Amino acid sequence: MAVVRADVDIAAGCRAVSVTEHLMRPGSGSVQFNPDLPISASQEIMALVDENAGGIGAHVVITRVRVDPALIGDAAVLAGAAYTGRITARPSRTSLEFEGIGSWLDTYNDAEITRTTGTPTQWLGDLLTNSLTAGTVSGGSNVTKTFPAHITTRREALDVIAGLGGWEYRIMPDFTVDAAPAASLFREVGDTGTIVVTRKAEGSDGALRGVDGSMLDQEIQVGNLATKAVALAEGQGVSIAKGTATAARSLRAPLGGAAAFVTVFSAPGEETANANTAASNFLNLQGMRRKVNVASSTHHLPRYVVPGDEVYIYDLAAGLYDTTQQVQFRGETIFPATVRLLSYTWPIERGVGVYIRSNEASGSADYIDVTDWVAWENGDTWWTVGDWAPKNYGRVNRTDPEIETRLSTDGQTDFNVTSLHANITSVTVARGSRLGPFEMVQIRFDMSAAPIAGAASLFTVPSEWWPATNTAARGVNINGAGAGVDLFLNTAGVVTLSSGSTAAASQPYSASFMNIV
Amino acid sequence: MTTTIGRVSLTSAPYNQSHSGDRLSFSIDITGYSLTVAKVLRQQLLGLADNADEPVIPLTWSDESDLDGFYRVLGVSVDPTIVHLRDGTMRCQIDLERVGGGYARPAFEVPYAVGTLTNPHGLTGGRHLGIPATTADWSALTGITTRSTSTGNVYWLYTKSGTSGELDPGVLSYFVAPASYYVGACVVEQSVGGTWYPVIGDQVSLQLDLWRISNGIIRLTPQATSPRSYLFERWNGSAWVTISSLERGAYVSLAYADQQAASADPSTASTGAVPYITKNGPDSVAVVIPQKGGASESISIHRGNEYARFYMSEIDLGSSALWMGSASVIAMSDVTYGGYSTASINGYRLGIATPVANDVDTVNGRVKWTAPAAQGAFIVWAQVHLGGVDGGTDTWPLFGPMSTLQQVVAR
Repeated sequence: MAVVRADVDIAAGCRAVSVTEHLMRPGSGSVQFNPDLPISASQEIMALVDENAGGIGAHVVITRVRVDPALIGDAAVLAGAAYTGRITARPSRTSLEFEGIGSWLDTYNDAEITRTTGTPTQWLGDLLTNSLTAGTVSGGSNVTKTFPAHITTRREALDVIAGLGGWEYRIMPDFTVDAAPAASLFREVGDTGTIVVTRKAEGSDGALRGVDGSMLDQEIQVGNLATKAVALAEGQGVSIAKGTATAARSLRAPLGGAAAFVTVFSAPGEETANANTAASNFLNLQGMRRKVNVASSTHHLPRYVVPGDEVYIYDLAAGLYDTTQQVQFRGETIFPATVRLLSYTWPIERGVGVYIRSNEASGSADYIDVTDWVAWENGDTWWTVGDWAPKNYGRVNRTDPEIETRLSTDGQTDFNVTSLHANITSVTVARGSRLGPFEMVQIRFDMSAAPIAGAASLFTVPSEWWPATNTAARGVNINGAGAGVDLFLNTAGVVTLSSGSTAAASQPYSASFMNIV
Repeated sequence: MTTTIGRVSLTSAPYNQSHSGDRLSFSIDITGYSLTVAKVLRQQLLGLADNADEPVIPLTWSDESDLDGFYRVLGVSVDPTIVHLRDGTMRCQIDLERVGGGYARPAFEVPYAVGTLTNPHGLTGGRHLGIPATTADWSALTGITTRSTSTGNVYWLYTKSGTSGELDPGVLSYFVAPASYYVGACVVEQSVGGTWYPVIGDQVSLQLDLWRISNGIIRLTPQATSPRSYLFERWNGSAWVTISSLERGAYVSLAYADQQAASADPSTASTGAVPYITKNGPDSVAVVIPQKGGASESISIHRGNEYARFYMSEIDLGSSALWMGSASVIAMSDVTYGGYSTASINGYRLGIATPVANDVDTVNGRVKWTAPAAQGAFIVWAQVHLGGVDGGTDTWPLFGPMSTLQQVVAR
């Protein structure tokens, strides 16, 4: 399991009264108030935010137009809100900072979460917490996965399951999470209302909507071009499993000839069988990064487009075109490139409603209307569009290697013993980490009142422990028995008692297995 | 004595000139014109500012060539109409900044993108760009086609060798003198008081009698009277000759209806169908004419080309199909992409092509879209090509679905 962090750059030009939203990332924002914000209002906000004084917490809710929450009700406000953010800081009496409500899922899983062929709805039920619930869910394939306790946050786990299941999610301002394959969840180019970004301020043309994009330019990063990636998967030292992947790059060495950049990353939890895939997925992220930054003066862009939507973008000078794609727009044929809106930062402009909502049950929440005192921002919306998409990651987990190592979740399958002898009452397995080429497992098994006579099959071990030849010298020892009691392990993985010996009743026994990896 | 600022042509001189580094400011009067004409000139001057399609304009003054050159327009202010009523003059203040890279001849770059429109006819289209043929740097080159326009010759450059596949987008550079900048340029014109004036920017006067678009080679003028058609004319080297009146209609119940598919008459402002301009630059112009029910028709032309492109969208046809053709009877040959006139019309041949499956009325000269649709889009090109009676597809090297998008920037 490797650590791969999403490289979604926050758009440039963040200002004091703005909201930044990302595709499948929480985002953040801040709002400033005029000094004449009533003290009663700021005290109410303080009461909610002050943890030590019993504050239950609050959210900033931004609606497209000014509404009266008392009149239309909590549910309706949230359902129609443009944005909801979790208040994380009160830098001063007249300012608030908040994060996207996806941050409610930034909690580590406290217990193991596991599901076999779980549907997206089932996984959402397992992973969502802190008042977030599943909204509209459709499509996607089933996923089998186990997350040991304390290994990953709920949100990171959600990203993994979404990646494996082929779907994406979108957290709505009413604390529900919609999930579906990207093509259904977000707008694809060609759908009604597709945005076309050009340098000129444009209006609509049929199903297309023009948006002005000044300072339209694309940013290319070619400093991290790896030609080969090596994944250090499970194991230690000389026994470490390595996966590799190579990519052909156009880049040349200074005097011609092939360039070589080998990058290595740690994935201690990745099984040996997946090491190459992990390397390949990591290498996909080490290619050229392309990002387009656009500043648009179109008012309140979130009305038309959200992060995750595909947009057309066209500017010859910046190299943003695709001659295989012809679109009729405003009397001309243009050749726009299709890119995905990854994030944008939009100013909180006069005309919207801004409220503080207390963290209480639906219908019981208090709303503080602070719209009249917001220090409105006038300015452009900064977009970031690019080639990145969550599905580009492929199958990698999002955990910390150090946590993985300490929890000893090194991708090994469980050591499940089967076919227990009737007289064995319980089996406890303790696994050690790999030590060089060796892997050790110790088993304690408890006996019932009746002893077991020799040549009896006690239990069967997992197949990767089956020796190639019948041998007692496979490192199987039995403790707690008298002399003459040995264990045999055959090529079918069956552990038997030595003939002529007896395993005494009502005793715990331990056996240790050593595998040469 | 003539002062030209972009496409504006005034008979008065710039005064109160102020030079500061590359900045030039001066005043100039709109004087000696009737109020109607003064308003048109006023619109033209105001259209120079914040013009995304023409960020750089040429300036010439017949009395002193020191001012000649290319400038960015920083600001334009013009007296209101009441001043003309009182004084007979409108003062205009213009602030300009000379474009760097050469005293009077900066390098112009034309980034272009050309692609082949998906079509069932296997056509790959042409890849030509037009630039003024007074560019001295090109004079030594051979094998370049020169085309005559009403404002001078243009070089008609083939931008990629080979005939198939997509053209890689690129950048073409050239130098041209200010006085020759608009040679062969595309222009939208409006008729006011019987005189034609170029529209600058995208503000069309509501006083217009009529409007037309032209690139000096072909010219399209909507007809004020029924049937609602476009007069299609061609420059023959010395004069404009009429080729045809182009009609569009709905093919209903196995008959070509004369009426246009939409109701709005494109020629007059009174019916609310004043065109709105979506691109107005010397390299290309595009206008859109609103139709009923959210439909629209757009026409675009490019410098150096002898065809105009029509695009009709969101037309509600019910169960009928769109057609375009000649208002008068012109016999046509049927080819896969449309039809072309079999007889010479003033030395030229009219052709109508479309990237969709089509049927041709060879007797009357109409091209009909085969598959009707309730809501659809119809792209059609109308071309006037020099050629005799014989022809065949060799005469129509450009008759393929192709679009270019040219922008001109100065360096």
